[in-house]
Amino acid sequence: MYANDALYAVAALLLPALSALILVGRMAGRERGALAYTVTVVTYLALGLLPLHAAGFLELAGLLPAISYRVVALFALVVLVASYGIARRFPRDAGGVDSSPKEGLPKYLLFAIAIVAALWGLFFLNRCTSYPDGWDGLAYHLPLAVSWMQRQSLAFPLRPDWRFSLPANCEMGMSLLLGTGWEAASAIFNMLAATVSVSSVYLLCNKYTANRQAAIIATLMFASIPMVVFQAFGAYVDLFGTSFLLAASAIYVYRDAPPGRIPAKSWYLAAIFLSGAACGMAVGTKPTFYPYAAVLFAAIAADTFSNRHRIPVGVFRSLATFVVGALLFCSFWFVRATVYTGNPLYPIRISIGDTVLLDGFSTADITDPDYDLNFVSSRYQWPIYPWIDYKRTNLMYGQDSGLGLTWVSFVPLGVAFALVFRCVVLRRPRRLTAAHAAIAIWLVLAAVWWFALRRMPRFGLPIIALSCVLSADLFDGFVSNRSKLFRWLLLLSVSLGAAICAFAPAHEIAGRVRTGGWSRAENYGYPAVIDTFPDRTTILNLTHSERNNYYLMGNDLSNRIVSEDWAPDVIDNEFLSGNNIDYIVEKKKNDRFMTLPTTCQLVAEEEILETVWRVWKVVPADAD
Amino acid sequence: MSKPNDLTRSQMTVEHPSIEDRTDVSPVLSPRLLAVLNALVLTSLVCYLAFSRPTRYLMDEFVRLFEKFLT
Repeated sequence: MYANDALYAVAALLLPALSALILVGRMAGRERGALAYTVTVVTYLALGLLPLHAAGFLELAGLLPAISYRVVALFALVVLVASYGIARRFPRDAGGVDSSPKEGLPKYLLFAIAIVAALWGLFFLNRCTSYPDGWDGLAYHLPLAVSWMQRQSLAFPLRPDWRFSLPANCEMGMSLLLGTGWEAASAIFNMLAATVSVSSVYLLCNKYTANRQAAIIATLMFASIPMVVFQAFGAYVDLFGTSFLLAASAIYVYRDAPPGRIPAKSWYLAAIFLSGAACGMAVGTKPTFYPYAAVLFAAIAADTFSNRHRIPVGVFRSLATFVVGALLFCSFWFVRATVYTGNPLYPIRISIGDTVLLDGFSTADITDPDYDLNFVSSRYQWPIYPWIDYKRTNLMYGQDSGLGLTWVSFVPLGVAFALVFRCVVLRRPRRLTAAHAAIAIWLVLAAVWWFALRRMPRFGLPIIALSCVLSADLFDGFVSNRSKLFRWLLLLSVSLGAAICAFAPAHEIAGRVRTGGWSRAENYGYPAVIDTFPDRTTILNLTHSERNNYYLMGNDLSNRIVSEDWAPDVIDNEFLSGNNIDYIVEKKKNDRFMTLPTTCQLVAEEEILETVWRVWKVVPADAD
Repeated sequence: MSKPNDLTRSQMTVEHPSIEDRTDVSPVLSPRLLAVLNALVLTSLVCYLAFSRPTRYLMDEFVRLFEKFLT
């Protein structure tokens, strides 16, 4: 079904890469470094999403009947031509490379970096030899991406009252990546975003401390967090949004340090625009990033105003450039929600007291107010949460929890040290500095996470990253004083932390090698007969798990799934024929199966992982 | 001729407020404070190993495997 489209999907992925290389190559020349890398990848992902946003707007306006991969590839070609035109207007880079010699890194640090890199390599190997995972990813991020792929439309997903009708920049990318025909590739945008988060944390640390080694160690803390590594290769979107939020901050603080030799004013405007674009991509990822983006914009506005005599353009122009960049990558979602529901923030209900201004779901309907009690047994335990790393439903780390040994050993102490050092010990200079601003932002974000984001660990990823930046002061102290004990402690925590974190992927890889279960059905644990169904088969999922929505889409992701949530209590022929259902897949609940119409024929009954699955073929009642 | 607000790169970078207060940590840390900080890191590390759910789970798994191996 998708064989012909795969080439267009690949083109839609590669053409923006070419556009990004042309644009950034013109700006940064041969400059190689964290800033050039961050700018290149952010530009690539932005240009990759731009054709989809443009196509989405045209579809909303009724000017585009279907968003096929061919259309997206064509739009990407237009973006390529436009990028070339824009690049020609940039002053040519003189070809300079930052030739200032960088001191070599000590062996203990190189060893620590190698351990963390090996951990990432193991996760990469696991992803390449398996299929996408993560509960939220399988329950709705990936089904959403596949739904767009199947319907060739960015219209509201499936049913307009679906509470997961969220902004979905990451899923847009997933739909392109799944179109290549290689499911594991769906994590590529997440992987790229994860590398951007690492380079952005490094850039922020490098601005925060003059000690390069301290900046690298602080970055290593972030890269070794299990939740970060799991999300980098998974199907959750929190790290994706966090990465762009961090990139927006990093590019902004380097707005006065062109990566190449382009004029300061040109770079300033380009950096502000790109920072805004990255912020918009975060906003368009998930509503949990709205408050973070608001804080970031407030900080940038305050900084721009206080430095108004030192910036090369006016305050209004600077802030307007940021806002335009942001709107380009998130406005589609708000316009789409307005068109379908009249509420730009749908599915979030807007109300004052009991008066509902714009209809939708309350945040309590979307996320249980007591969901944080999955991570602590009582809220008084939150201060010690990093040391217990608890999750009620999972014994090991996962995509939604896990700070890990390395982070916990150093960063809480590092944050406390930064607070004391910057605010109490270091009295001079007495005026506020960027470091004070970073501490203030950290405190505000911590309050936002506690009161507005329901204390979900993964919703706090930007705060966790900023904690690493603040702890650079502590590492500066250790490194400057050449503490040998610190070196051993760092190596011990990194190696033990990586070993614990590596258990899950190593276990999965070993399991597949031992059982030979490389197929999709064996990997996910569903009846293999599902993969033999013809294209566009519609399946009613009665397996009591939204996660199975994705499993049942089959090997070529061509099956249409009707979720159990949308089925009536009693399944009758009217419902089955009304929804064009071809097959029903069910699992036992409370030790019994559901009662189905007698016209359904049992196709397969299979016991998988101690659970009995039944697959029924729906035969129309009047077929006889 | 440059416009009044058209700053050069060097003018902009030198004036950045986050630069001048970046290298003040080292003198603050006396050997005694350094030892205390290292001790706190070690305590944090040991506490995680002792109390965190993942490490306790892994320890249980290894004990189970070891017992299986012995029998």
